[in-house]
Amino acid sequence: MLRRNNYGLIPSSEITSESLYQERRAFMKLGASAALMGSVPLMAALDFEKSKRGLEPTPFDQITTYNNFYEYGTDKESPAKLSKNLKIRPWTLTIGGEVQKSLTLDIDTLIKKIPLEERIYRFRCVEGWAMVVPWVGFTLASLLKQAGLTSKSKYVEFETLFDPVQFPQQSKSFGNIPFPYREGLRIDEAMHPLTILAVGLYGKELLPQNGAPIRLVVPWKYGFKSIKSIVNITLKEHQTRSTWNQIAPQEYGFYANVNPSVDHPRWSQSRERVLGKFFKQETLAFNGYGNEVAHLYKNMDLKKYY
Amino acid sequence: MRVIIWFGALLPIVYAAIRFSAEFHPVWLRDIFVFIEGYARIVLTKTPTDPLKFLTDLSGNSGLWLLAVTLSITPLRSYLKINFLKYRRFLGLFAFFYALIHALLFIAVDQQFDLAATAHEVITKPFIAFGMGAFAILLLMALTSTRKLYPKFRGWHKLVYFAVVLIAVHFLMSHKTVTFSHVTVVGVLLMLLAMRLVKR
Ligand code: HEM
Repeated sequence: MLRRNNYGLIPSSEITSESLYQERRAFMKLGASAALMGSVPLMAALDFEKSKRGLEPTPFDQITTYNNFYEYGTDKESPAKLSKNLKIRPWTLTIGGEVQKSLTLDIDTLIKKIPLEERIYRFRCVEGWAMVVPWVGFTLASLLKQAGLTSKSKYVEFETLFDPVQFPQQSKSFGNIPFPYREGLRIDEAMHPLTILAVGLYGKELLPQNGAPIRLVVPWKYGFKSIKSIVNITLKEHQTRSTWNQIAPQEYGFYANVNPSVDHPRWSQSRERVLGKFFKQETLAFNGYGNEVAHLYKNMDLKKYY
Repeated sequence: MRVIIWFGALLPIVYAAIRFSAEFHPVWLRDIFVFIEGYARIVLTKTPTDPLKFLTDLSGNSGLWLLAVTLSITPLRSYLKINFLKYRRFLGLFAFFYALIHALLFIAVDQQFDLAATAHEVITKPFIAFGMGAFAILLLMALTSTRKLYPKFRGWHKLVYFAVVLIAVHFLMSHKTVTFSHVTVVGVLLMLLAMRLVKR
């Protein structure tokens, strides 16, 4: 089952040569294993189809210490510090709602059965920072097909684990967002080959702060759409809930496609701060994936449906 | 006293220097920092991941807190009879110094000196407009704080109360959610203003 992710969307200037990338990967693995002896929990290496070429990934250390995960607090550092003991096994993922056959899946069985591949994607946060992440995962479409769609499967809703014992912020009534965290996609977005469920990054299983054991990655949308630590996937006939959209609909849209020409009310979206860099760079429409996804929004006013 | 103020007011710069030189710390210094990190909730051994955001937040918060200290001189005098009045201008200028860095980071780095783009941001985004309004007031005060000009512009310096309100709103707007600690910060600023309303 070899699958290749040769989406022709990477400008040649950003392509890292294979050997350099392999070297860097080897180095990162070393770094990761060195960290293991310290405080980072042991994450198993994954068996997957490597990406042939890609953007230059953001260092492992930055991807795993600069996170938004409001279940642990509103700052960027808390998730890495507080999530070490998140119980990610056993973990069950359910797929239900408007499907032909509801599924209840054990995460280990799922990972063993489904072919994994690497996807090196840009990741753009609505707050204006950006990174490049070498995810390991599989297409959401491949999983949804197992459940079988019906004529009523029009939207997909995702839900993060609700467990106030493990997620300290979930029991706070003030100063945070409502829980459980929920996100949603239109069915054509969910079935798009770029949309994946990630179970790893940098060749290893995900760390809790990055959404272990399984998370959504939709590379052309702002990061808050890419929900973490998913327990439920529900197919629906009508537009689903979306946590940030519910809190502040005028700031965060349901679609939340990366769009440099539609600003957030408080900050411009035309450029972005790449982690580790002092100067900003231009933000690309659909985060650089326009060739692949722009047609999904052909007849929509993206200023209205931001 | 002056030395203490210099020392305290420059701490944020020392802190930034420590963070940005994290890769070059000698082992012994790193060991000391790791030791401190074990006891205090402070990061010393890591280069900032998002450097522009780090400096923007550091300068913004430093300006805010130095302004709060500046504004506490009067209540200290009227309530506790401690007179630090002669240091007020000095402290205020330090607050302005950080506000200036904060504003310059936005104009020079964030907007890359594109003044039209900066103006567009100010006009279209209340968050930026509040910050700019506060900065304009602090700038006016800094420029008219000389021995010669101050007597003439004394009245204008009352605008600082308005600047504090603008900064409080700007601060609350800079975060995606309002947390308990944000409310505390705003509470401190409003307290300092309220203490002036209560006649002594
Ligand atoms: C020249 C006008 C100003 C501009 C353009 C400006 C811009 C900004 C920006 C872009 C941020 C970061 C928001 C983000 O997280 O993306 C920010 C945060 C902040 N600003 Fe300003 N600002 C201005 C004036 C001021 C002034 C005068 C003060 C107070 C002395 C101030 C205090 C703060 C504080 C405390 C924060 C929050 C830092 C944190 O998140 O911890 N700002 N400002």
